[in-house]
Amino acid sequence: MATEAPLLATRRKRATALASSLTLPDARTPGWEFTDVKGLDLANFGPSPDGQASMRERATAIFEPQDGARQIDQIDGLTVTDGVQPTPGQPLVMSLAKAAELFPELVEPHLGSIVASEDVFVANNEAAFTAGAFIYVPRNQSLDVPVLLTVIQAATAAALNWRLLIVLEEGAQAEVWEQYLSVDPESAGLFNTIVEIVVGPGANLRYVCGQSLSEKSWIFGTQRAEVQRDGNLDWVALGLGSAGGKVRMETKLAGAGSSAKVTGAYTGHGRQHLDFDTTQEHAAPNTVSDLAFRGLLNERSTAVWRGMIRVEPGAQQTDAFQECRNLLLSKRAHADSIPGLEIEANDVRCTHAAAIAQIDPEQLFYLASRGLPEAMAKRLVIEGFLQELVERFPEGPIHAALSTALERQLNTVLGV
Amino acid sequence: MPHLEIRNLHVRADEKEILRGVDLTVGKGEIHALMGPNGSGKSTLANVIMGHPGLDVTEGQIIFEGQDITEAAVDERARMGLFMAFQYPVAIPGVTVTKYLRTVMNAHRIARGEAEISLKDFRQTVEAAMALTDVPREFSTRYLNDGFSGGEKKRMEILQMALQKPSMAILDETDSGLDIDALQVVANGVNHVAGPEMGILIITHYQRILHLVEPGFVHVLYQGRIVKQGGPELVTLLEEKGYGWIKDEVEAAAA
Repeated sequence: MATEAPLLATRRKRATALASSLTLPDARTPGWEFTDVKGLDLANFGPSPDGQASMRERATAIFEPQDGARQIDQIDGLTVTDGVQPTPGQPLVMSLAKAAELFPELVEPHLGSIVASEDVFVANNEAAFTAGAFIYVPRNQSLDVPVLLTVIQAATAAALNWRLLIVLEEGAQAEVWEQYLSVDPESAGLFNTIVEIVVGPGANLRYVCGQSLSEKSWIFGTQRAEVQRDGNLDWVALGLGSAGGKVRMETKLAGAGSSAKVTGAYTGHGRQHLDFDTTQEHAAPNTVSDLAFRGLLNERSTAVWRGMIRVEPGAQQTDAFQECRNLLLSKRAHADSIPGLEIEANDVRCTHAAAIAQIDPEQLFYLASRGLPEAMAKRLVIEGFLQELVERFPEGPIHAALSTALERQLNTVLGV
Repeated sequence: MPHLEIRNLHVRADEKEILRGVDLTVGKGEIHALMGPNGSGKSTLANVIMGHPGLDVTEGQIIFEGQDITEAAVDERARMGLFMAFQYPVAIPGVTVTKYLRTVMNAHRIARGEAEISLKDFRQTVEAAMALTDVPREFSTRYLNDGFSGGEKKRMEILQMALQKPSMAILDETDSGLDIDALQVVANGVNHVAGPEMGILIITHYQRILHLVEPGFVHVLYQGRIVKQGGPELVTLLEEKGYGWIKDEVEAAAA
């Protein structure tokens, strides 16, 4: 990294020192009570080697690029961009390392401003992240085509530190899709991602992030968005792969009139453990957040969802909703859903719901009585459970992509 | 050959004996009514014929089209031509009526070794059945029974019966809780599917549906046994006298 931009080099140096002073969380660390990282030794994961572009085809994608999509692929240490020359004053879809070099004035004010560094996974990421990606849309412009970022871990026993920065200036609009994949289903890697999102005043972002890492991989994610006045964020998350870890998804409604819709689905089978830690922070009046997660767990898989709605003093007329529903397909599967409210304003509407259930035998009897064999009846009930989440979106690319991804994943979870 | 034959059926649920030796035979082309006070075991009988997993047959047999189905899987019974309209149909959230009906239709076709139904044939078949059972077309995109009113659920049951064309249908208190219009729809549906090849068993607490669908045979279930059998005149008798006299008769016989 001899030619690295000074601004990154400085941050790395600081993060390296910080990383060495921080220790991994344990079961007594707040927020980590249900996710055990005892088996994790960061020293076992070397840096990502130089990747090979040919590996791109060997990873099973969650999302296919939409027509005309701008794409960046990251394969281990290799970044493959679409070759479009970045032009000042135009929307940028480029490597973060390159952007720090060419457009430091755009990167510096935002990088590290959304996600705090004082966390062992964040510091480790910052010390070692690969080229990363930078999506920037200037004032009142819109990215006419969706962006698809594909991050692939091909090496085993390596750490892939991925970093994404999305900045939408006032009145800008964009749609960014991301997928984290492994090549070898048996590979045991460490995937550490940081996503920082700035939605400017009146700007509009749809951000979709799916992970289908090998079921022997660790995933750690710190993803945080700040939505400014009248801005809108539509955030979709899919957690399909990985063995264990934790993904934080934090939304701060920083400006009056801003809103966020957060939709998540996770599935587990075997001995997978999934952990989503979501925060809806209302820091300004007249803000709206609507979060819905659904989890499907088979065999001995486990999941934890912890959701916090925080309403700061002065964030009057907040309208916040969160729910997490789990369907357990086996007696040994387990889910914890922990909704939380911290409300410091007095004129708000905050509601939450959590459910953990197995398929109702009366549903199966009803369907069997109409001639459906048991496997078919079960599948229909499960499809319905997931469909209710997909129906949060009108017919269109996101509706279709979610349906396709979940239907395919259902075969994996059910082992058919 | 009788179409459906129940022989000396004893059934337990949660260690409690609900049916205590029921004998009942329904022939092809016949409409039977099974009446009785609440708690007499009517719904248990319907559910055990369909094979509810929570019910335990401790003695006796269920014979359908000459085959002993006492231990048969529920879905097999359905594909053999048995149908039960539920007293309380279950909601399947997230599954539209269209998707559900197609899945069911195709399950039957696949089991018969036929190809899946074409979109066009499916639409035509369902639309005809919807017209017959007075189910509005908008139902197609609603989730099955999810948020349906009692009457809507019952009409969906009759719609499914019309589509499935079973050779033996059991209506488990399909008439309860219905207003006059919905009751008429249910009755029309039943009269439409009824025919010389079909057996029908209407389970009811009340008499009013039996004025719209006339049974040839009436059975009265009390305390887990059939205590009275007769023709349509029994309906009139029950209408006039209620169930009290049946209880008195049974107790007198036991004394």
